[in-house]
Amino acid sequence: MTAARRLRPSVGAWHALGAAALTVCLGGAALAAPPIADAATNWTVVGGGAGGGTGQAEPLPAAPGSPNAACVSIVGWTIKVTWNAVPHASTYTIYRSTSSSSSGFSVYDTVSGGTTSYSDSNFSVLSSYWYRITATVGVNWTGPQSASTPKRSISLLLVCT
Amino acid sequence: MSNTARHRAPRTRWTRRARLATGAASVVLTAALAAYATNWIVGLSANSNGQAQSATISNLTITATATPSPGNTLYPGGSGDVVVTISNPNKFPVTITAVNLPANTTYAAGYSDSGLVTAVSGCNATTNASYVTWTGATGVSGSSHTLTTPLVVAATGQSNNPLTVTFTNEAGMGTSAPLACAGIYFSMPSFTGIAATGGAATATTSPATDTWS
Repeated sequence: MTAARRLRPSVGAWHALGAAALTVCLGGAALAAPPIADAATNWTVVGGGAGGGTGQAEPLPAAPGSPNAACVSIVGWTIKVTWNAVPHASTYTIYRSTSSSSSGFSVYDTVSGGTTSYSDSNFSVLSSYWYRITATVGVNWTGPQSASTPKRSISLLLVCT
Repeated sequence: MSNTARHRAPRTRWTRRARLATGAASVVLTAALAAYATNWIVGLSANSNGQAQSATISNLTITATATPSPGNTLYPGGSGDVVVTISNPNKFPVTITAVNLPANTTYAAGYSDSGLVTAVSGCNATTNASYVTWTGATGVSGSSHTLTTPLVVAATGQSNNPLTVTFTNEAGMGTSAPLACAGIYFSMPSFTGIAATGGAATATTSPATDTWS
């Protein structure tokens, strides 16, 4: 008779259950001593086990699509930047540049992942502006920059075009 | 007090000591034997005629598998599916009713391939933690979680053994997961145990899906 049988108070209890309760060790790891249980309860495994399973992660977030910049307040210098939502985004980062060169963009502001627009009212006269956006999932998963928005300029007459 | 009572008292004390000693020895022996046991012998009522049988219970094996692909994939702050294959080497079905999870500080290791061969150093279980854990895991290893639907793994040699199971959204990824964890595969940390019963039951059809509470 093995140790396991010794743990059971009576063989008759197994018959009453119809199906024997048992403890299963995973992957052949050494077992610690199972608790001394009565016949009405299953045993709880206290040993180690083999592999768990396979999971898979999503790729980095995509670049926000359809970036746009519109003059909401033609006089008053308010430009509204919009973009398409990215799944699971926790934040969006807005980049701004005064040139169309891709190297000219720098981080301008950050908004929460629940919004897909940004209003900018901080400009210089006779300047032109382009915007790009990135999406971040969690803290570290930041995707590529979006395409540039169309150019918006502030004229000498303080008009946004 | 009568003479009879005086004579009986010492015998009662000796009997208690003897029982205590015998019980302690039994517990020690049981623990020692169980610690080295790989197969346990239990009484089974494994067939329909009601006769009791004895059988050797061999360990189930739970392994990671690449197919089917998880339908829900992980991302920082979100959850995803985990796919496992469970093999039952016994000559009777085994019904799994609950799983025991490692602590929520035990993280999955990342791999660049679905076969879990090439490790991703920037997303592992230790120095560059993936922050991928089992859903419901607590700060203490071994927490028990009852399956929504018990899984019956068929007897050895029968169809549906091994049994492939997708645990839907039972893995979670912390928001601080490193960038290197994007788009890769994970070997989930081992269950610390399962609760199961052996005996006649209708096998679960493979592939199956399940969750736990």
